[in-house]
Amino acid sequence: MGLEALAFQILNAVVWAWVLALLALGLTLIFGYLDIINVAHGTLYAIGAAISWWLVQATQSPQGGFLLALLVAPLAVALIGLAAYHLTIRPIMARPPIYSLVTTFGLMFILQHALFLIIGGAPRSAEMPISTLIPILGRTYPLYRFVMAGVAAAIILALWVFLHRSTYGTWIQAVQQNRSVATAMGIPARQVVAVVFCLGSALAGIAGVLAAPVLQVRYDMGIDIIMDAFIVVIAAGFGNLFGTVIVAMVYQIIQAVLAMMITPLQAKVLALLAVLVWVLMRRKGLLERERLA
Amino acid sequence: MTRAHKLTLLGGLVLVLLLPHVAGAFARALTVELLIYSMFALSIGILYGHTGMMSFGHAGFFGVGAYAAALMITKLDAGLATALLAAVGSTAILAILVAAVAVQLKGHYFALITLIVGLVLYYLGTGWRSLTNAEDGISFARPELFGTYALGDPMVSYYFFSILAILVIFFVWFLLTSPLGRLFRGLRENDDRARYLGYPVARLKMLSFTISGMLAGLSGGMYALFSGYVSSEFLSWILSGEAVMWAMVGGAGSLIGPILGASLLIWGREVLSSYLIDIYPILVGSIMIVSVIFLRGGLAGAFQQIRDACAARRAPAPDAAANGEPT
Repeated sequence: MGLEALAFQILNAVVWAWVLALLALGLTLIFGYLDIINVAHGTLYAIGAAISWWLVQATQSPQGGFLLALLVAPLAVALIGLAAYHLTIRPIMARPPIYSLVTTFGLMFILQHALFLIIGGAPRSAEMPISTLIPILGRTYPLYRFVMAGVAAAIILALWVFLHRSTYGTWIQAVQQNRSVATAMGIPARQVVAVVFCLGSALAGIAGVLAAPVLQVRYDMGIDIIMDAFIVVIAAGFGNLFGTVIVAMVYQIIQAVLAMMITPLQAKVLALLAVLVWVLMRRKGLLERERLA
Repeated sequence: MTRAHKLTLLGGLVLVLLLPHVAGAFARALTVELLIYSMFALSIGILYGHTGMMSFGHAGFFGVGAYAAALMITKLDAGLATALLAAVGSTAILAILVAAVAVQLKGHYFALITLIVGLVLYYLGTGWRSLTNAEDGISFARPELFGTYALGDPMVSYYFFSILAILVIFFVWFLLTSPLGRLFRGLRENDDRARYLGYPVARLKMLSFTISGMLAGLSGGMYALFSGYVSSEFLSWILSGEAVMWAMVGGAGSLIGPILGASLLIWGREVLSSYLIDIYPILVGSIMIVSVIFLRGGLAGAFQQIRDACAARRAPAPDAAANGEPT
């Protein structure tokens, strides 16, 4: 019984880790290429979830609404990201990166409260698009969670292919390595930077859509997960694509196992302490590996 | 510290002493609140404006200080001095622990660690009900001052907290204009160079963070003792954001800036709160963004620029080391 419960906890953790990794990758992408930490990233995720919930309500169809949200939410969130980029990042691009922390922190205040004014303070739940339960180890497990992890994994793979195998991906790499040389070679560096920001935002939007049927949709749901995402990103080192996935996995499993023995709150605090110790131990490596692998 | 700074403080002290003769209870309470929050904003000023390290979790220190003071009184039946010492002592320990990890990291990482620590403390505040009573908070009877005056008396508490706050601000100014303050600004400008010159950079950053955390903790403790109330909202990340906003708008790198920013914006919030309470967080966010983009060096920086421009007409511009924003 105990072992079985543990197995399910770990299964949950592994499935959820893909969504967390997707969110963390958005952060790490924007940081790795633009040197900007988007503190409002969690709120973009919440907006994605809210769009998903709203579309399911509006279409009265869990499947249709969800599929529509998978298309609409990333676009909408990318557009919000684009506007945010022009209003809060572009004006301070020439100044030290720390300023972007303050402006995106301000952005988080604005977006999150705007979301609160729109959907209200009460938690909302979106219906699962796939209600099938599959039997595992004598229990049933929702198929949707596997689909969720699968979609997240597919997007992460697509992102890797895009960055490393496409022309535009090469442009992105070039702009990151040397912006002025890239511009001299005819690469539209300004556009590339904006696209990276939109792409990172869109990832948060998709993560939100995927999470909406599993979690409760709340205006401040971004705060809960952004902490996990930051912890993953810090422990993996910024800009480390596959490291981010692995760390997300390990971090979720540790938390799940801990949560069997102690309260989730204590598990969270312990996990944080573990990351702090980890950061202390390999602080040199952490600062060295800053770019996308 | 220049003569102008000393005169400002003296003027502040006189104003505070005279205020009760001309103003009512609301103005008195607001004055104390402004002064305490000014201390809090100044703690961001020390850290960010002078040493170049940003904290997004400073409400953690404010709240821990507040809870330390309150719990000393409710659980241990301690006196005023012990409660204030607990506020400073607990946040000093916390700050040293956080700083030991955080100062190993630069810029982004540093700020993220503070953000995470702040969020964890907020979670503890809302989750650990038996100790903190979460959003409902704890109301408690305020202790006595020197065993004779009750802090529950509004006049006693007004004089005590406003004078204490001004003395603390005076001390912090003294610290920031001392050679230590100059060293902090040296780290802000170029910590590699400071390291080559043989300064213990990590330890100095820890010192700056600890002083800042203690100041935030003391302001939290004073606020709790002044209002006789503490709740998990004292730890909220919104308060952390507000502290950053106050410091940035006023000018984090100047002495008067954070005080100016805190006073102006809290006064504005009090005056406008009945109209704007619905969109207050949006306002906070917008002010943060706008002041970063357009108000380089904050209000204090703007005044300085005007003064420099006037001075430049008469003579070549003097070196304005203690002012302006970090670069």
